[in-house]
Amino acid sequence: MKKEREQKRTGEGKLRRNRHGMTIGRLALCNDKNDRTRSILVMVTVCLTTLLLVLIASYGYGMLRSQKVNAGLASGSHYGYFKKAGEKQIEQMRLRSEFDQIGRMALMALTQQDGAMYYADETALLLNNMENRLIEGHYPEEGNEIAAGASFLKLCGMKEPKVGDTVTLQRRFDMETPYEEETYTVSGIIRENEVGSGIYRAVFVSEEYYESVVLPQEREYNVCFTLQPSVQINTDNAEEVIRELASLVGVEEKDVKVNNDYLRWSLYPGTELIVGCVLISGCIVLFSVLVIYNIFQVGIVRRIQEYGKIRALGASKKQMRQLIQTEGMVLAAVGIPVGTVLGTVSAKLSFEYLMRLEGIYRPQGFCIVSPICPPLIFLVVLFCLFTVWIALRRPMRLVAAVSPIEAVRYQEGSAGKKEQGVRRGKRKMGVAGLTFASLSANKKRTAMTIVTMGLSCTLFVVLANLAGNIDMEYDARKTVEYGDFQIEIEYSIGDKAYPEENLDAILREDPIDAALLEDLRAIDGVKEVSTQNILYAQLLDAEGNVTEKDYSVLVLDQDLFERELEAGGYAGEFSYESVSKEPQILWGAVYFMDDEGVAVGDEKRLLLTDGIRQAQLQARVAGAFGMLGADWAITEEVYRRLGFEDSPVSKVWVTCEEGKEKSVEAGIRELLLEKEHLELETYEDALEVSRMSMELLKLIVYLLSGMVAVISFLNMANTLVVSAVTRRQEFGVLQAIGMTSRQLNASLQGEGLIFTLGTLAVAMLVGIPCGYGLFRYGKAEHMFGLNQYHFPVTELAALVLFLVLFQILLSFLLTRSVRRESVIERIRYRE
Amino acid sequence: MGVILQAEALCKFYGTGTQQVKAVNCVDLEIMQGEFVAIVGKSGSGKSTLLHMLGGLDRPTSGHVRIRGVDIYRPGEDARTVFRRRKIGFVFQAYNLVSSINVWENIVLPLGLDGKKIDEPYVEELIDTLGLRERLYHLPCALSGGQQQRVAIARALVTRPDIVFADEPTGNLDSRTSDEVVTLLKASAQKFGQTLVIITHDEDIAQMADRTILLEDGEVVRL
Repeated sequence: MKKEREQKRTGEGKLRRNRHGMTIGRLALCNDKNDRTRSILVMVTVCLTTLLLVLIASYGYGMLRSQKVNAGLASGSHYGYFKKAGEKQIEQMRLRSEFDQIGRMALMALTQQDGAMYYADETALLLNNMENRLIEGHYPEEGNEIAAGASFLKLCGMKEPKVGDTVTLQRRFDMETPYEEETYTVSGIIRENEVGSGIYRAVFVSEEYYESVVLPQEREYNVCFTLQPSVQINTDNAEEVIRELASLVGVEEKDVKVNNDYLRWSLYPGTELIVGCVLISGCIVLFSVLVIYNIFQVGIVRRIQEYGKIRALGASKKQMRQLIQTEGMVLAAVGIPVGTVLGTVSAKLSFEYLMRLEGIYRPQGFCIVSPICPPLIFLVVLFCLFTVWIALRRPMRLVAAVSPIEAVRYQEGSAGKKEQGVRRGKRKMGVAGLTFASLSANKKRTAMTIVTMGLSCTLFVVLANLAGNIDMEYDARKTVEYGDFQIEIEYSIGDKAYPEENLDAILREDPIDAALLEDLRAIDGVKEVSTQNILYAQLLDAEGNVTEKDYSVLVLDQDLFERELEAGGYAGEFSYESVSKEPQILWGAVYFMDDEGVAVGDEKRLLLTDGIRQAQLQARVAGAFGMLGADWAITEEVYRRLGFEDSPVSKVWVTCEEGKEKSVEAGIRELLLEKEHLELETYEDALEVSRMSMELLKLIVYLLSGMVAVISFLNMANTLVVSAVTRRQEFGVLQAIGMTSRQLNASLQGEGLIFTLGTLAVAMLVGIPCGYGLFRYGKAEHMFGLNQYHFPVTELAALVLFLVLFQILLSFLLTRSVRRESVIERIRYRE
Repeated sequence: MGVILQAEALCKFYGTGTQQVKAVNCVDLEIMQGEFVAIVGKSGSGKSTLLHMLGGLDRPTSGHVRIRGVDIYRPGEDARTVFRRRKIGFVFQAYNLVSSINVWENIVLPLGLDGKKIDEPYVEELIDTLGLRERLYHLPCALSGGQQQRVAIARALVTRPDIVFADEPTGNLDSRTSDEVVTLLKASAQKFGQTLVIITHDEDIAQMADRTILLEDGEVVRL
């Protein structure tokens, strides 16, 4: 039995049974079987690499496809629209060959309950993806049919909105006329967004009805369109081409709206995403090449005599190369299919799960696409084969260069040392000394393992620097800037029919007055109450007369000002000091600068009021913030200089004592019960929203880099296993002369620990500066929640713990495996 | 001189039934303190197996080995290892030095493993006796076979063991070096008062011993 086992181990039995002679292929197979540990490690590495590459490729492909497919669903599949276009312009468009589909849509009236009544023709409905939103019935075809959302219809008094029922709406055609009642028949129910407004509370009417209430000369449309494929258009020239076409059909430039969201994804090849995926894949391939190469290299050095014998028996250099290549490719042939299947299944399941989650936030319709693209997977498989081939190049050359004589004479650790076979050494020699001596005797192998492991772990450290610094609190603070609660006034600008909703009226009413602030301070548990001021402004013309244009003006103190700058996306060059010194004003939203006709450097004359006092301000437009939430902004310095004091308040931040959040919230809600125009937001809710979106991102990042860390660990496992196997005889002798099992374990643990510490040192030395650099870049680019740099202690502690624990486990298993043989078996052991 | 080593009905069998191989079959022997004993026999006669069992390296199928009256197979493996490193020295045919450390470190390694202080004058004397003074910083790979075996002898003697077991210490050496090594081994054992048990094929070496034990098919045929 024992003999049989021995034969099986050495492959002798196989050799005898093979009647067709020993081909290189068979020999490679036998070598793989014989060196089971190496084979398993290489197969697992190849499998993990394939899995990671399939995952990355599939996610990249899935994201691109999903964005392309869903861009149309979210923002309509038209190239843009022309605002305020009349029949004449539409006719011009029809005559031009560049335009393909042309759809008309018109805002006809507004309803109470924030509804907007639209007329849209079939093409407009199609291009705005409205067909997908129809839950029941059809879009209006005749008379006073309407299609609207169920919750909107409920707001309008219907108990159970059904197709065919009638509903009475309060509607008005502009801000100057009061609401009028009219009864409609519901022809269709559409899906609506619960959190959105504007188009999401859309009510559609029929063409017949629209034409019956709007005179031909008053009819103005938003005309959406697509262009013929023959038009040369891409993301770079889209704006230009569309503006040019607009001028050709008589549409003014300011009335052109390009559907950038859709064009970005329908015309853009996704270069950035692809480059990102290729870069990460490149890193993974690099680490895998290093690891597979190292596993092979260590194995070959151990068995160089074996290869020398084959050379001595007459194998050519080419055959030697073939031998190593076949050894590696056989293992790849097992690892790659397993990795591909695992990668494909996990990519499909996880991607679709994530997309389903994403879909919850996209009620306008969300198409879940499959991330699996067979040709791409085939490409990844080829890439993995290429990875293994690259990794085998050097070992192949090494084996081909083996001279039969040298190799047969070769003894582990003796090559090239005859002339330098001197070691200064130490006077005392114990377990620790033995461990260090063993590692320094194989300096190249030790260094190579540490460097390859270290570099593999570097990716984890780099990503940890990024993911570990995603600051959910910072992100939540973009919503609720200070404290635990935020109370904000809600207002309109320029509502002529309901002027009481306008900012100037609300300011006169002063809903956040001193009494409310006092009441807030009096709530048990409230520590601090701070406020932000707002003003109402009217634009003055050159003669100083009040025009029809009116605005909201937010007052920013230095801290809020800096926060807005940090949030990024601003235009112009300015600082708190510069806009305070010589009074300057800032526009509230870069995005709407063109719409409003505001440009940096413009001079504006504003009549400001806080509801009681008035002041004139002539100021230059210094720039614009990304998205401020008001039309204009001035600094607190300017505010005070203009003679205003701490009233009226637009925002209140309430900070409470720890543990009293619930009671304080109840207190605030009670105070606000009687108040109108005020909205309460809690920091806890904002944090929860931010946490939900970021946890997932962190999970993906850590899973990816964790797998790379596993690959690197396999590398260490290989080096330790090979080291233990080659020194089996040495361990036997050491035990014969008095090394206990505990000392053997300590020696192996020590070796592993040195690898672990070396790995961590390389990973930290390379990873931390790179990670910090990436963090700085991410922060400059205003990536998700990146604010203050913190050393990612938890993440790195997890990496240290993972490596140390697994290394201890591995050393323990190795000691057990060595101990399984008797001392005498080990002493007799010959490779 | 008292009995230092005693083997009682020592057996080592491999396999069972008809496949059973009796490597060592019911061997009884006694070795006196300070004695130089050579175990001789043909290849496969069970010499090495007997030596390994006498030295506490290989557990017997049955029987007892007592060194100074202590049954060495009664305690567990770790305790036996500690006993071995304090009371027994080994010299192997293949020298079996640790390749990554130099001559001095190889010699003092057993002391380091036992956490003992190095008795430097004794070690220096050993080194001089074995003629290794010029080679202290060399790695094993830089030494000749004879030199390596001398280091192995020094390593075996450094803990002042009661008994030194040598398993064909000259098997890999030419005849001139063989004589030199065995002479050194014998002289050192005598000088430091140790018992020496040696396995050999070499008739000349066997004749240098105080007593020869002849083994055939695992049984002692001449004591």
